[in-house]
Amino acid sequence: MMEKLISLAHGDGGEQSHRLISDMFLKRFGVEKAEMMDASIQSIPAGKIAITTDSFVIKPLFFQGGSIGKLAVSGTVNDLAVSGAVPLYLTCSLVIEEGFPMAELKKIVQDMADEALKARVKIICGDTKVVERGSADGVYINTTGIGACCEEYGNSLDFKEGDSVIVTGSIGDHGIAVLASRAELGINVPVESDCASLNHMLRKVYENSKGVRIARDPTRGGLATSLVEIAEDFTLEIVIKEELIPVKDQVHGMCDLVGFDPLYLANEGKAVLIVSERDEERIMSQLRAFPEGHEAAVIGKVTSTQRGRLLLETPLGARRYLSRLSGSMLPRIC
Amino acid sequence: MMKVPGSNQTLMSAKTAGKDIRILYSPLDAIKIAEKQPEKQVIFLGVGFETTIPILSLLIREASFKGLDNFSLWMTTKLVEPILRHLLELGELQLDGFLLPGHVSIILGAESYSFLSDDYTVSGVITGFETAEMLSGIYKLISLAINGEAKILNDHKSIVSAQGNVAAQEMMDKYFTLCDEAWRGIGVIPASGLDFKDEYEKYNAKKRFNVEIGEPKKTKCRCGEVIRGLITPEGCKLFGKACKPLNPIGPCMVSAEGSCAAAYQYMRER
Repeated sequence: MMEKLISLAHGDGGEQSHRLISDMFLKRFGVEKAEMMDASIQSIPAGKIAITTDSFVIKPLFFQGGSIGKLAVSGTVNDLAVSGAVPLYLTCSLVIEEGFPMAELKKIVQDMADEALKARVKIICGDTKVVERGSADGVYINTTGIGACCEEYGNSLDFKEGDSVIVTGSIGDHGIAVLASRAELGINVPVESDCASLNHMLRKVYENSKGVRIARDPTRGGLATSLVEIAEDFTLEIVIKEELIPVKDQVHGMCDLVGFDPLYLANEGKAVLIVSERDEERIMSQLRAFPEGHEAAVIGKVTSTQRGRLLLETPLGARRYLSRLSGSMLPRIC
Repeated sequence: MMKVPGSNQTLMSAKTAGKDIRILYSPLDAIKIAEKQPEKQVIFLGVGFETTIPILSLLIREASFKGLDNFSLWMTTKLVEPILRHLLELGELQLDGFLLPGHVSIILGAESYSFLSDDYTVSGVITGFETAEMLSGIYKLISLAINGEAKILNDHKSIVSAQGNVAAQEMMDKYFTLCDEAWRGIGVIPASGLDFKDEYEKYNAKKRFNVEIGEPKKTKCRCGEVIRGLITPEGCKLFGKACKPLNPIGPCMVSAEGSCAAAYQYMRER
């Protein structure tokens, strides 16, 4: 590729568009030229399919532990994985700002390809648009993910008093990594985003247990928001214990400094699960066998199916309500 | 700050409508902005008590070092001693004592509160903000009250000294002088705020720009009585109905640290 920067011509559908697509995308995503039509034709197993869509507008595009490219794949994969589906295909649409460096685009697309390989999903179709300088803030990525649901396993939604609440690792890493990467604070924070595809780990859990009531990936709004939503949507009283929730020291430190609460910070490589008490031990050992789940912890219980609320038990033994945040703590984190 | 309701809008809604309003982590970033964008007038909103006032002094110092003529400060800061005296002199409540704020005390020093015991025979305990620190402070204050003692205790000795931060106090004195200040829900309290000394008036945003400050819109908000301890948040008819964190009418509900917001989040039965 000759050019160093993306120009409006690259989005026009002409010669430059064509070359961009074949040189930049097709090769990396393993798509054969012969397959190229206006729509991608794929086979899916019989039964139900899971479909999700997501847009990625994160700033900065490259952050400690990841990039918008990696995130676009893992974020979409995880939405499917926590729904009990096996992620199969992804689409990817890019809106690129005129003047965006080709070298950076290459890195982003490579990150997408690398993550797709790790997650064993195929990126099967896409679209590229280029907009005038000043729009799109570099690059925006939109995806659609398609997965296959299985008859035998998934989220049973059959909640019971005594169900355990599990988080697959430390919380707040992504939110803090992005804040640190913005360099506005001039503080060096050794925290990497936890951005990762969780489908292999979660599939193992689903395949070996009928006790998973529900799983969520706590992105924007963090762990607390995901649990508040579950508590309200399914009328559950959930009590989580502050001292059981894994939080890295660096994340605690930054939160203290800047006034954030790790419970509300985004995570991009974690899942929260509610499982039957009986299956708790088995699920925990399955999670811990994966690098993404090595810090998995049981953090609380479902204490009632009559009331819908989330409570936090503090180290002093007092309980307080957790609700949704009004207003955002941190903009553009995913 | 962004969500505090004015008569017609908030800073947040003005920003959404396109005004250049920015939240800064460090006030000194305002100086950087003024340097980088000489075509813009940069106004920094100075709010808070003695915790933040020394940093505002620093802004004036920097602006004057750098000869910036596009930087100014809108002072609306308040002082701790005058409001404590005012609350005691109002005599509305039988006050046993105060939990004194840990961060302001870093600047002021423990000795600055002796007027409470000397002039009013009331106790004060300087506390931190963590759970254990608050419990310790509350315990000590209750003990003093039960024993009928009027004393000032520094329960935050790790960062609060007897004299406080003298350099910071000198900075405040250098640039500012006492003035009357209006306290939302309470009214004007003489010599309870700070304004520019004559030689630094050029940085006074209120003088540089011809702004008319209207009368605040009358609402049924009873924040003033909540702050003065006369009613609990639940005692206000608007609480939890017209006034909620997402749609606050008064300052007690806007800030996550306000009495009404705290009551709404943590005391309400669900």
